[in-house]
Amino acid sequence: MIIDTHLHPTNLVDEAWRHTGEPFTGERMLKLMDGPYMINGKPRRIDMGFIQPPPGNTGYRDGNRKGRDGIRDYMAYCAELCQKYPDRFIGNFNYNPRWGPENGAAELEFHVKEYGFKMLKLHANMHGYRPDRALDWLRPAMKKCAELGVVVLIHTGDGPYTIPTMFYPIIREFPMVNFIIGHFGIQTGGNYSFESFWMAMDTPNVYCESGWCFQSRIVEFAQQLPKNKIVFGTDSPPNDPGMWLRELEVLCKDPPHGINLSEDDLEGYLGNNIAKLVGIDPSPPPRDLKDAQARLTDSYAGVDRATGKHKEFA
Amino acid sequence: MIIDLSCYPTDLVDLAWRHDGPAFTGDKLLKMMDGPYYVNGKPRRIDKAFIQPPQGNTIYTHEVMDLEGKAAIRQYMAYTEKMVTEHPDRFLGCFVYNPRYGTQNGAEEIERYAKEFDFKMVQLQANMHAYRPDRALDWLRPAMKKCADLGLMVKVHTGDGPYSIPTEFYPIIREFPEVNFILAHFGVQTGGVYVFEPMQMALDTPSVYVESGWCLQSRIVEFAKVLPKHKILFGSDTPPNEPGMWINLLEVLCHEPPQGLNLDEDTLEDYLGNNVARMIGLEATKPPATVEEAEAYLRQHGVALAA
Repeated sequence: MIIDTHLHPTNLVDEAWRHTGEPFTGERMLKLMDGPYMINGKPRRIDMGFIQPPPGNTGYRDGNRKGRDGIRDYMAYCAELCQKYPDRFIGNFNYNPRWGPENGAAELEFHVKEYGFKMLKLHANMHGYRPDRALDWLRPAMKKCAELGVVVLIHTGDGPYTIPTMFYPIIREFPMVNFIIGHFGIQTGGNYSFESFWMAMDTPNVYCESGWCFQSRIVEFAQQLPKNKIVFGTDSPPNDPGMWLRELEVLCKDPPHGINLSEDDLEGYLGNNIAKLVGIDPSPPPRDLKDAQARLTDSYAGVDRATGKHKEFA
Repeated sequence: MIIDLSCYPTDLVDLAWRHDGPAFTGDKLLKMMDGPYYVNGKPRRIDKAFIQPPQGNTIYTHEVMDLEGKAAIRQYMAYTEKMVTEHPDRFLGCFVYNPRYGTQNGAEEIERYAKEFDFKMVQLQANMHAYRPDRALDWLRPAMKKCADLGLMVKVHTGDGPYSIPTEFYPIIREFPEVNFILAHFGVQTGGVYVFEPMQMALDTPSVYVESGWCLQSRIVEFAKVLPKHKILFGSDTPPNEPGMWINLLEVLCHEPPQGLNLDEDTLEDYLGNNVARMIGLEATKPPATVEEAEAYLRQHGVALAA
């Protein structure tokens, strides 16, 4: 099972980053997810992806509606895609407390209950708050995440407000909520990969997302982190999944490039870890080319969903 | 033609970084270079690689690296020299210049390695060798003069403070406009992300080039659009980086926006090796036109292909 925790399909190019080309729509995203990508010699697709709007489109701009209406507007395209492609897309609610913390909490609940959303995204830089001090802005949404079992993905890697340890106060206040450190503490504005690594080592409810992590460091971090602590996320677009799948696949090789990771543990990183966190049935890696081919169109082909094993071995 | 600018085969694991596993020897590197790696659907190998000792093995270390002057330089360069001698068709020598062993010693050794072993490049690692490149100009000038005389390129380690911030090298770059400088790993390292500095330096300064490895994927697609096509050079920084991921970083540029920029295969080939080939006087080659041509080339060079 391959699940990408970090995708941004859109019908409006990110107004902050202004990527080149036409909007990267849900249909283009599905094509990208279909690959196929060769992993340990077998063709694979990205079975599912958590989708969220581009962060640059989640702040107020002249002409927007306000309050809950405004939130619903910036989430609308993702909600539509989740309904249209429920077997491929899982909703990630982008929480901007500037539209009202209680409004955000209520909209989170609405998107979870109406559209099956399973994740919430915090982006303190884009939304302009200090996560270690604006706890009153965060608590309503975090309470809702605790209540509904929603996982929180945190944008990290840039100062001034998205340095990973700035989130420790809220992480510690909500030990029942699982937090994923987005892109391993790395962005164009900085590298905080060691912070992310130690937070995941020390704190049971902290996980690291693989994308953007330096290849020379992830091989070291993966060796020490518990196997359930790394989840695959690409931050596409403009990142492209192939390179970030490769980064994890290489861990199956000999040192110094890899750690002789087993295919089962790789599958954990690629999707089964996050599947277990959000209640999606995991699946074992395909045994051979035939298995892999079948999985390109059916994520559970040959899998006993009750046991998460290959059918004949169930 | 695929040429990797940054590889570190060794018989002694880097004493600074202490990567896992046994030493990543020249034979292991050759196997890794053979891949094959699929680029736009065609199997490829890395034809040649610039090799140098791991940086952590180029400084004084009690009872491990404890010779002096030129003898010390030859000690840390010995394995690279051996590999270049044994595999002249695959490996190109890169001399690591540590001014702490004597600036004149270093300059003379640069000349010896260039003339006797056909080395084509010199590496500066100001953090490992502890000097401020913007102030220790007296430490750099003898080597840079030699590079100018001999037509050698200079690769600069960048990405970490305090001494490897790209713009710290502007004084020496400006003093030697006849020398080509390559900003290694695009100003990105574990210690910092300085990608915009190399981008602007390469854009503004004719003698400055950028190495692709470590560059953030979301940024290289933007930089490649703006930079002159001859300014990007493929380098993987292997090990523990692995070439496949960094070849893919460039291959994706052939995709549509926003991940790519519809780069043509000829320009991709320039990035992958032809650009640096031209800089050192090697003949550039066309990318294989078909899968069959790519496979035939690999078979001709003894690379095993899956049935």
